[in-house]
Amino acid sequence: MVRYILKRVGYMLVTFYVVITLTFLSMKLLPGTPFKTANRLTPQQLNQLRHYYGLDQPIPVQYVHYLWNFIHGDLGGSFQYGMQPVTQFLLQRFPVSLELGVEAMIAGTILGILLGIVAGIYRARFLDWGTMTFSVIGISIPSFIFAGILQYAFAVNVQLFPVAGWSGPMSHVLPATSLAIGVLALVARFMRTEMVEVLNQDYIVTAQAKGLTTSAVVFRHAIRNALIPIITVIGPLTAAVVTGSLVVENIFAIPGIGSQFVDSIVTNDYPMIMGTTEVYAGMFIITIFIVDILYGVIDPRIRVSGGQTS
Amino acid sequence: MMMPNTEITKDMFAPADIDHSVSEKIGRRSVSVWKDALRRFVQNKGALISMILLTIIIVAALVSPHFSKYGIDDQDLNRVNLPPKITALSWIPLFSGKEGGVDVYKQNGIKQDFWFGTDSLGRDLWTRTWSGTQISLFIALIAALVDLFIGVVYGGISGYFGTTVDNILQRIVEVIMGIPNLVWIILLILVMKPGLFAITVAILATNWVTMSRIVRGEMMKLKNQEFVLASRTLGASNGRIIFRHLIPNSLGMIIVNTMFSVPNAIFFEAFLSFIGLGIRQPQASLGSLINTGYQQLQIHPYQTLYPGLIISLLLICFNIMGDGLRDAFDPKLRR
Amino acid sequence: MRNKAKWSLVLSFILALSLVLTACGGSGSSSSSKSNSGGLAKDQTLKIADVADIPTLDPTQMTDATSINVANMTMAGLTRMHDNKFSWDLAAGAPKVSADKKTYTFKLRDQKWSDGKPVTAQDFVYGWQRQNDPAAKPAYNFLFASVGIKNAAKIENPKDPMYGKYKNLGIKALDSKTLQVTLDQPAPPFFYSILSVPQFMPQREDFVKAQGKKYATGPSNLLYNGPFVLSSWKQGTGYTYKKNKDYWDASKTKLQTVEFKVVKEISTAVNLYKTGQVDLVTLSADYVNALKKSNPQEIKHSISSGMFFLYINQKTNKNLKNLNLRKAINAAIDRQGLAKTILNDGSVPSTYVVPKGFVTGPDGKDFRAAVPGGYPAGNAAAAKKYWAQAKKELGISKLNLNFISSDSSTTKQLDSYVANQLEKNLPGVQVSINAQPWANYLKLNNEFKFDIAFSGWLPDYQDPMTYLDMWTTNQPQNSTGWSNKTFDKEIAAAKADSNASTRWAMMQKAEKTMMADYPIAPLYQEGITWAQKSYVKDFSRPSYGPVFDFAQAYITKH
Repeated sequence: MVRYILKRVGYMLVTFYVVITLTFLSMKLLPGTPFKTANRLTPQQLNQLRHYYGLDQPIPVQYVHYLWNFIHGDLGGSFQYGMQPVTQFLLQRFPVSLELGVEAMIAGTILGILLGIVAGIYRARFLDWGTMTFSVIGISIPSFIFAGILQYAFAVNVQLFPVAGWSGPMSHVLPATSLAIGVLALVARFMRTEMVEVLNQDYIVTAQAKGLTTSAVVFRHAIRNALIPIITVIGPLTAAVVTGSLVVENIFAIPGIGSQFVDSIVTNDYPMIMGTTEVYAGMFIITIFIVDILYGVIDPRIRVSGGQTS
Repeated sequence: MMMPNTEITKDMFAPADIDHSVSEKIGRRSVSVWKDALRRFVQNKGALISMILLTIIIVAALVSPHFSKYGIDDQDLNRVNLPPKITALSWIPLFSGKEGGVDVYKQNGIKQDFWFGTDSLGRDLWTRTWSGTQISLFIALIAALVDLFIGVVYGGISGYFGTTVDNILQRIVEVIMGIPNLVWIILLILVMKPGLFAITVAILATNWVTMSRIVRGEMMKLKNQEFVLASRTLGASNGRIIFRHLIPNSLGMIIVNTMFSVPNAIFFEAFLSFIGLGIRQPQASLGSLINTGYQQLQIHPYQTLYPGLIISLLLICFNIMGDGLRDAFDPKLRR
Repeated sequence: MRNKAKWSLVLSFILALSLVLTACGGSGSSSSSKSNSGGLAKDQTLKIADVADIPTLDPTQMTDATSINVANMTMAGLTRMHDNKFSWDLAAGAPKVSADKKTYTFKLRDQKWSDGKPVTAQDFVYGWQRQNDPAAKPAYNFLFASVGIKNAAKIENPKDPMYGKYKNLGIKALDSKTLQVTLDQPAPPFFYSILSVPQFMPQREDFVKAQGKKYATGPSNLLYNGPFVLSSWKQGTGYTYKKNKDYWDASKTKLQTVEFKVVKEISTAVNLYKTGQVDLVTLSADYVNALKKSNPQEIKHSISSGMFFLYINQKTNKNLKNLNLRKAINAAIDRQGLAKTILNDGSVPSTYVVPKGFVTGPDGKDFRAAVPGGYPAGNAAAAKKYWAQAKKELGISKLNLNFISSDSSTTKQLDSYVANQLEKNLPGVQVSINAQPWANYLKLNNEFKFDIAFSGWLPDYQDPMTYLDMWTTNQPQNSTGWSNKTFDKEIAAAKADSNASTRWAMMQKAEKTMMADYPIAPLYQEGITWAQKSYVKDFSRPSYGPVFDFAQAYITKH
C-alpha cells in the first residue's frame, strides 16, 4: 500500500506538470495582449510593454522562467490587478471559496445520503417519489436561481439573513444552501439507485433471513456497499464546488475565486489563469487520489493498485 | 375376506419415452431480452406517461415556433417586458397580462396576446422558448450520446483491465479535467467561431469524463464478483464480459449519471452564453433564456419561469423514463 | 473560521495603524470642528455599492476609473477636478508662465503626507520621473507625451536614444516648495485639468524604495495627502475611506467614513439598497423602471463622457467604402429606442463624435452648442433610400456583415438590437454577431477582421482632441481605414494653434468634415443612473474627473 501511494504521488506530480505545461502553451495561443489599454497604445508602446513583462522572449525561455519562478513560489503578478502578486491573491480568495464549497458539500452530502437511503428503502412509495421529484428539480434548476430566490425571500422580504457579504456564520447560510441543493439532489439520486440495487442482492436477503432487523441490515451491510458510486461522484464534484461557483459568489458578493477566473480568462491575465488552473488541477488530482484510496477502504475487494485477480 | 394377493409384476410398467429433444423443447414462444424489456417497460405506467409527455414536448418544440406569427428575432420596443397573457385563460393570475396589479397590455395599448410574455427587446417568449427547447434538446442528445459511447467504453476499459491501462487512461482523465473547462472552450472558440458547433465539440471533449469515472468505479467493484469469475471460467472473452455482464449490471448508475450530465451540458451551454461564448445571438437556448431572465428574476419572474418549467419537466420525464428502462433491462430487479 | 480570525486581526491592526498615523499627524493641524450646523447627521458615513474592486493602488499602474477614483480621493496633485472644473489643489495658485508659454513655475502649498512629513517639490519630480522609468512598468504614461511635457515622447520611445532616461523629463524642483515644468510647445488648454490625474501626482522616493515590492499593495503600503485616507481594503469585499484631518482643505470634507462594497450583481446591490445597507447604487435599465416606481425621489441621472459607436471597416471591406452604404447603416439604427428603452440609464442618442457636457470652450459654451443636433443621417425611410442607391452603385443585392463585439452581458442586448435594426431597415442585409473576449476582440479589431465593430471611447484628457485625433490617417485607434486629407490637415492645424478660439473652431470644423463621411456610426453617449438615499447631499458623478465624487458630500439627519 505504501509503495502504491508513493507511486501514485509520483504520477500526480507528473500529471500536474503536464497540466501546467499544457495550460502554459495554450496561454501562448490566446490572441491579443493582457494590456487593458491596448486600444489606446501605438504598436511601439505595446512592444515596449511586452518587453517590460518579458512577453517578447521566445516561448521556451518564458516557459523555463515560469517553471523556475513556480518552484520558488512566485506565480508572477496579475495584469488586471496592477501586477499584484498572484500568490497573495489566491491565498486571499481561495480559502473563501474553499470554505463555502466545503460547507455546501458537507451539508449536501449528508442530507443527500440520508434522503437516498430513505427513498431506497421505501422504494416506489410516496417518500421515494417525493425525494426523487425534489432531486430532479434540484438538478434541473441551476443554483443561481435558488440563490436569487433565497436572497429575495430570506434577506429582503423576511430579513433573517444578510443580503450579501462574507462575515459571520449567518452570511454563510444562504450561499451554502443554494450550492448544497444541487449536491444534495445528486447524492440522493445516486444513493437511492444504489440502495435499491444493493437491497436486492443475495447477501442482504440472507441477512434478512437470518432475522436481522431492517436497520441492522441497512447500516451494517447495505450502506457500505452503496457508497462506491457516491464517492466517485463526490470527488470531482468537490473539486468543482470548492473552486468556486461564479454566479452564486457574485450574487452574494462573496470574495471567492469564481468570478475572478472568468475575468482573467477574458482579459488574457496569463499569470492569474495559470495560478487558478494550478489550484484547480491540484485540487482535482488530489481528490481523485483520495477517491481511489477510499475505494479500497470501503470495499476491500477493490484494489486499484493490482490488476484483475486471477 | 381377503384381498387377493395381486403381484406387481414388471410388465405392468412401460419405460418412459425419454427423448432429449423433447426436454429441450420450449413450450411457449421464446421471449428475447429486448421483447421482455419492452413488455416490462410498457407495464411501467410512470415510464410510459413520461415517454408520452416527452414526445409531446419534442413535438411542441419542433412545431410550435411555426404556429407563432413572430420569429425568434422579431423585436419591437413598444412591447418590451410584457407579462404572459392568454385572453381565454385570463382568470388565471399567471396569464392575466398583469404585473403588480397593472394591466401592462392595456397600458401599452397592445391588442395581441403573448402566451409566455415578451423579453426586454419585445421578442415573443413563446417562440423563443420553444425554439430554445430545440437547441437544448439537441445539446441533451449530444451529451447523452457522448456519455454512453465515449464515457462508458472508456471507463469500462479502464476499470476492467486495471494496472497499466488504467494508470495511463486515468492520468489522461486527470489532465483533461485538471485543465478547467473554460480554458478548453476559449481555445476552441478561437479556432472556431462561437456557436452550436463549438459547444458540441466542447461537450464532446469534456462531458464524458465523469461518466467514465463512474463506470470505472462500478467495473472495479463488479469485476471480482462471482458471476464474472464464473463467466471467465467458462471462457468468455474480455469484450463479452465487459459488454454483456459488467455494463448491464452498471446500467442503473449509467442511466442515473446520464440524467445528471444532460442538465450539466444544458447549463454549461447556458454558462457559455452568459459569458458571451455560447449560442450566437439572436438564437436562444433554454439555458441562455434562464440566464438572461434570472437577472430580472425580481422584476419579471415569468421570463425565467417558463424555460425553467420546461427544463424541469424534460428532466423529470427523462428520469422516470430512465428508471423505467433500467428496471426493464436490469436482470436483478426482475420481480 | 481561522482565516477570518486572522483577517480581523490584520484588519484591526491596519485600523489601529491608521489611527496612530492620523493621530500623529493631527497634532499640527487646526482641527476643523464643524459642529452640527444645519441638519448634518451625527454619523457622517456614506456607503456605496460598486461592481468593481480596486485594481491597483499604484499610481504608475492606474488606467481604470475605480483606481483613479481612489487616487483622486486620497491623493492631491497640483489641481483637483470638481464638477468638471479644475481648482488649485497643492499648487498654491496659478503658476508663473514664461513668455513663450513653455515654462510653468508652481508654488506649492503646505501639506503633509499621512506619515507627517511635508509634501515637497521633489516628491512631484520623483512621481513624474517614476511614471517614465521603464523599471516601474508604467501603464498610462503616454499622457505625458500627449500634454507635451519636455522630452516625454522621446523618453517613452524605445527606439529613441533618450529612451528610459527619465532624468531628462521637463520637471525640476527649484526649491522644496517651487516646481518648474517645461514643455516642448505651448501648453494645451487641458494642461491644468490633466494635472489632477494620478499620473501627475507626487510620490515619495524614500517611501517607495523602502516598501520595495510591497509598495501600494495594501492601504498601509501607501502614503496619502488628499481629502481622505484609505483605511482598509479587503480584496473582493470592499474598502473604506476615513477623513484626512491634515488635508489643507479639510474643512470642506464633511464625511468621516466612506465604505465601498464590491457587489457584482445589480440585483444584489439593489437588495442591499432596499434593506438600507448601502446609500448609493448604480442601476441598470430594468431596475431604473422598478425603482422609479418605488422610490421616485431617489433616482439621479448624470451624463458621462463615454462615447459608443460602430466602427465601419472600409479598409478590407470594399463595399463599405461606399458612402451611401455607410449612410444607410447610420440611418438604419433607431438610437432613440436604444437609449430610452434598452439602455434606459440616461444615455443620450448620439450622431456626433465629441460628447456634450464634457468641456466648454474659450467662449464659455459647450463644444456641442455649435451643432446641438449632431450629424444625423436620417430615419429608416432615408436608410432604405441610401441602401437602394448603394446597391445600384455597388451592383449588389445582398450584403453579409460580420459584427464583432466584446462579450459581456450588457452589450449582448445592444448587439441583438443593432443587428436587428440593420436587418429590418436594410432588406437584404444579414448581420452575424460574433462576440469575443476583450483581448481577442481588440486583435480582430486591429487586424481589420470584421465589417462592423461595437466600440467605445473614454477621454484621456479634458479636451475635444481626445475624441478627434484618433481618426487621422493610420492612427492605431482608427480601426475603420478611413482617411481624409482635409480632416488630417484640420487636426494638425488645431494641434499647432496656440490661439484657443481658432483652435476650438478648427476642431468643430474637423468634426463636421469627419461626419460628412460617416466613417463610423455613432450610437449613444453613455448616461449613468443611480439611486441615492435622500439624506445624501452634494454627491456627484461628473463626466470628467472622479467617477464617484464624494469629496464634499454630506449626510443630513434622517
